[in-house]
Amino acid sequence: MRYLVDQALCCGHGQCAALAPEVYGLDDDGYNKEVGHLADVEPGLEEAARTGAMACPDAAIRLFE
Amino acid sequence: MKMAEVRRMDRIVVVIGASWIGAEVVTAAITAGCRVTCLEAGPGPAAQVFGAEVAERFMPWWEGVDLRCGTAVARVECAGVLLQDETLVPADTVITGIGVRPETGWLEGSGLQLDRGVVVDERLRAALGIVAVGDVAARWSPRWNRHLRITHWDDASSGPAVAAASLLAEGDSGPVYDPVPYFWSDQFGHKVQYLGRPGTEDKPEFCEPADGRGWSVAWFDAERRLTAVLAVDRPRDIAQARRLLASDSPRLVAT
Repeated sequence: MRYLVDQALCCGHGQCAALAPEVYGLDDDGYNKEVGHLADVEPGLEEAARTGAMACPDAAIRLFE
Repeated sequence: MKMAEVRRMDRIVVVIGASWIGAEVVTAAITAGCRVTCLEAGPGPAAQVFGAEVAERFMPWWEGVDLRCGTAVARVECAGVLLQDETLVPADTVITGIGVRPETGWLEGSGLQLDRGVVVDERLRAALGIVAVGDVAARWSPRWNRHLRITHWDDASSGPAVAAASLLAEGDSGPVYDPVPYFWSDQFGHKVQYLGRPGTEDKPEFCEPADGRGWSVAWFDAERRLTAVLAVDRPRDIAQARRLLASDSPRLVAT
């Protein structure tokens, strides 16, 4: 599984990292640190990736299974 | 609120309540070219939540709006809004955003504990086989050591999975639900984010960042532990506060 954080949509709610810290991290400015490019989800963390993506108020995270 | 919905309205809009909903509706209405009056009972925007000192910081955003604080509304009439001093504020459209109270009257006598909501434990259980979630739930928070009733989007979004797990779990084997409350609002071109929950005695302290971008307010308890942060156009402050508040020894001492 991979994920893409839409640069135009991520505005620093930080809910992804709060609910799924094992998958998502934030940069120093509070935005998802992988914003703008495809990132891999480690095997076994798919459910956490879904939880974090669902928690985004702006639906900025797209998952590719 | 969608711009299109405001555009369908008439030109003179009166908004009752200058809290979050009021601010967002006002933003949409003035952007759509409406003439906007906002009637607020308290001393300033969102003053009931944050106090007058923080409300003062919001005031410059409201230029261009006829904001009338300390104004008590009597009723809405065909021609507009009648104030308690019998002034009529003319309006084509009236929008009210003055907060919510859970309707729990139908549960009186049910045996469930009610206290401005349905009282539930940290697994969202009201009684054996009964859970409550979302705006109506006054959930026990081990983190804050009190009951919290959180009426925000993320509680309604993430709570139900825990409630369902509680119904299926044996005894106390289900997950605990105790996230740090989080809320945001887009208003007047600003991103407002609010994390945590200050105690009634906690004092706000303002932070003016050196880079000049936005501002934030932090609340500390009597022992100088962080309890909440309000950030305007500063998601990085929320990210940092989240690290402090979400840790097991949360509220690290800030000096």
